[in-house]
Amino acid sequence: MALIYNLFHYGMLWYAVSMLGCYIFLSSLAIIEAVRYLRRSRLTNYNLLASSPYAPSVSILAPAYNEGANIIENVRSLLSIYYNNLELIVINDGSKDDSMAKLIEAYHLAPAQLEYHQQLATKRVKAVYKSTNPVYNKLLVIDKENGGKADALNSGINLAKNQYLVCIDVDCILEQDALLKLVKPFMDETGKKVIATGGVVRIANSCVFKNGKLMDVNLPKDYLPRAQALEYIRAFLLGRMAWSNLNGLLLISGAFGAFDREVAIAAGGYNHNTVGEDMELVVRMRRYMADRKIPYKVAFIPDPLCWTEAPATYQILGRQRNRWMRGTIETLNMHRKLFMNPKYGVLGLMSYPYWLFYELLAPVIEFTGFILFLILAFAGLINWSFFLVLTAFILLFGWLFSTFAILMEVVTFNQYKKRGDLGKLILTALAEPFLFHPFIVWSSIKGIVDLLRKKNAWGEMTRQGFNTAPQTPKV
Amino acid sequence: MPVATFFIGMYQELQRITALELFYATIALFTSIILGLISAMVFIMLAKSKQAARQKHLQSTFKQWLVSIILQEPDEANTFFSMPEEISLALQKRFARRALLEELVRLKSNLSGRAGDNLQQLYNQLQLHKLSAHDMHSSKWYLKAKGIQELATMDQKTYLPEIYTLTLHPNVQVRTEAQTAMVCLQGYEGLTFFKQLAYPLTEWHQVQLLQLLANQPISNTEMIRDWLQLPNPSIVQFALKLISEQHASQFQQDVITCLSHLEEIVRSQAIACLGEIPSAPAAQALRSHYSSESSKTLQLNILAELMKTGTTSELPFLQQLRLTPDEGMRLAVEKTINHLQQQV
Repeated sequence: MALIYNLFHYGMLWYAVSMLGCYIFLSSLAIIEAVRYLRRSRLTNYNLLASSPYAPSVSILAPAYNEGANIIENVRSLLSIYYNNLELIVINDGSKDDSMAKLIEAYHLAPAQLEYHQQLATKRVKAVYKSTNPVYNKLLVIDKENGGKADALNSGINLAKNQYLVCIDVDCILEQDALLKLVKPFMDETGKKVIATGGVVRIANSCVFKNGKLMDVNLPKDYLPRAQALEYIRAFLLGRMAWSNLNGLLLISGAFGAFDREVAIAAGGYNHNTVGEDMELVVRMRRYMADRKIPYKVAFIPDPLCWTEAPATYQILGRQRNRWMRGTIETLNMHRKLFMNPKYGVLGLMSYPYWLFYELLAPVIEFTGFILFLILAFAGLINWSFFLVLTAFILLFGWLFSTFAILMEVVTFNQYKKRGDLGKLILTALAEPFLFHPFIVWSSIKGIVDLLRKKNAWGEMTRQGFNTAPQTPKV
Repeated sequence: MPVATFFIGMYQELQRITALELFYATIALFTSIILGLISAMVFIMLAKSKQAARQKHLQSTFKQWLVSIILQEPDEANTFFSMPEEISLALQKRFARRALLEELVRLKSNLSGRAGDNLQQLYNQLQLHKLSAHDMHSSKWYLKAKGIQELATMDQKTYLPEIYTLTLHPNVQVRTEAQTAMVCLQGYEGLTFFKQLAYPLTEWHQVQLLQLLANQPISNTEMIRDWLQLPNPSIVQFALKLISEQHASQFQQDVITCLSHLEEIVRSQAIACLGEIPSAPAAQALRSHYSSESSKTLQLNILAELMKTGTTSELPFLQQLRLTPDEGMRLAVEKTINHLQQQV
């Protein structure tokens, strides 16, 4: 019994210390990478690419399901992206609302005989539309039977002709130069093939938009989106920058990421059998390259390129985190061959174990620890003075990490510079372990339970819609 | 020995510390670091807003003066630009000189002709090139690259020999800025470093160079032919892009030769290039190359180029390809045939 207790005790201690060590290590790498990027970026004239005939060709894939309320504005926003060599493919994934009718009317769409090469299996495509209005000549619309996001993206890949695919959630708002910045890493490497790039996704709640463009950045007013804003700063500015430095990124956000079309197709496109299709595709593309011993890289840029609305209620947030957890487990399970496999280098020896131990198992261990704490507390076996000190230690480390992330934000992109924003972010960080984090752990546990019970629904995501600036009255 | 005694002493001291005391110490450390980070944050925020305010003030101070300089008439331009006392005083500070330098570089990169010349003359008059050169001589790569960029934008030809030595610099940013600067200052003649260049040119850098050469027709055909023979495939690729951009059909035979290059990027560029200088021999070369091409992607590229520039004489060749078992290829062949037939 004593042996089991000691194993558990020291095991937990080892786990906590190694996790803290990882966070410190990753933060250091993130600083190096961010500084390097910022110095390079200051020397770069991105506009050079906007009109160049040698700019790589890009196909934007925007799947839409029941987005009728905002689809016209969202497509208009995507059509206004500053990039010349571009096609925009909107995929209506069997919407039950009037999305398709609205698109046909607003953009003068007519069925077109286009080359649709079924390289990836998808649900039936009913028709492909092209605008009869030359103003919208970049726009193509696929109308297909409902098959989920992965299926919709695969049908977009089948139609896409261009060199790079940019997969985006149709309701995201992009910065004007987002594509220029996202495409550059593909053109910057000579020794390695860049197979995917991702940029920072930021929280759009409380920000002001006009005609699909970001006008004013605000820190979200409500607590939940604000906590997610902080979480995204931590995840993108520290986590992904660090993994980018190591060339160990496993995830390019499904909200906005670019992929090499040939490699994506050769790797088999998006997987229909997981709700974490974005992560799964990156892992599979990496495996594809590593198996063939082709030097490759997955790049990441810390510029805020894409703005998305974060769930503002516990119900919607819970569904999202439940899905993220299921997606992570499914992906790691599908690619378990990578675990500690030296053949896959950083991917097998660092990225996969990190995700397994500190992303997937963390909520399980936290939840188990909490249950055990309750049992021991009821049994009167807790050394309260030690417990309080240990709790303070863990809380302080969490706050330290969040404060460091906020500092990184202030030093680098400093998006939230209004009076009081800094204080609000720090207070959000202080409240996070009590208000936000337990709920995330609980949602993840529910995700694991749902997966075990073979519930694989996507989970409906209701949006509140963006703040729009008042229109200037016409004179 | 005293060092060993010290460490043994330390170890014995540490052994006396209980786990609880260790946690207290760590908690105190974490708290101090958090407070330190928050202080740093506040300090940086204040410093940034102060700097932004200072920058804004300087910009508004410079604005009218710079506008008047930009608008100076040609006959006045040879004169020494007078400087208001307020600006003269401000420029005694290094920060203000830096701010003016950045403003001049920003304006100059967007202006040409007389306005650009006036800005350049002001840059020389204030000897701001010394600041740029100082950066270029820095050991920090990002300052070096910035200095080179400024000197190139301000057309500082006197620094050419120094910039030239940096075209082969091991740091990629320094190297590319120096190479860009050479082309910016000397056009095609600035590319003489190609002969020694072992590093590859990135796609991004190629676009930069092509843009700088866009309005300068190729004058020295032998130089381009030499580039096509160089062992660095990225230079060959660049030369092919240049030929495409300028539709320089005099290089057709050289481009056809590149179809048998060992490097795929060169073959791919040669195929694209032949599409930009279309002719019967070019189409014939593409058809002949098709069967020997090992890459399916390049075969598809050949079909795309034939569709773009081909004539009905391509049809018999394409009819043969209809039997290919690859669905993707078959689809591309059908598309090309349809397109060419529609043209008829």
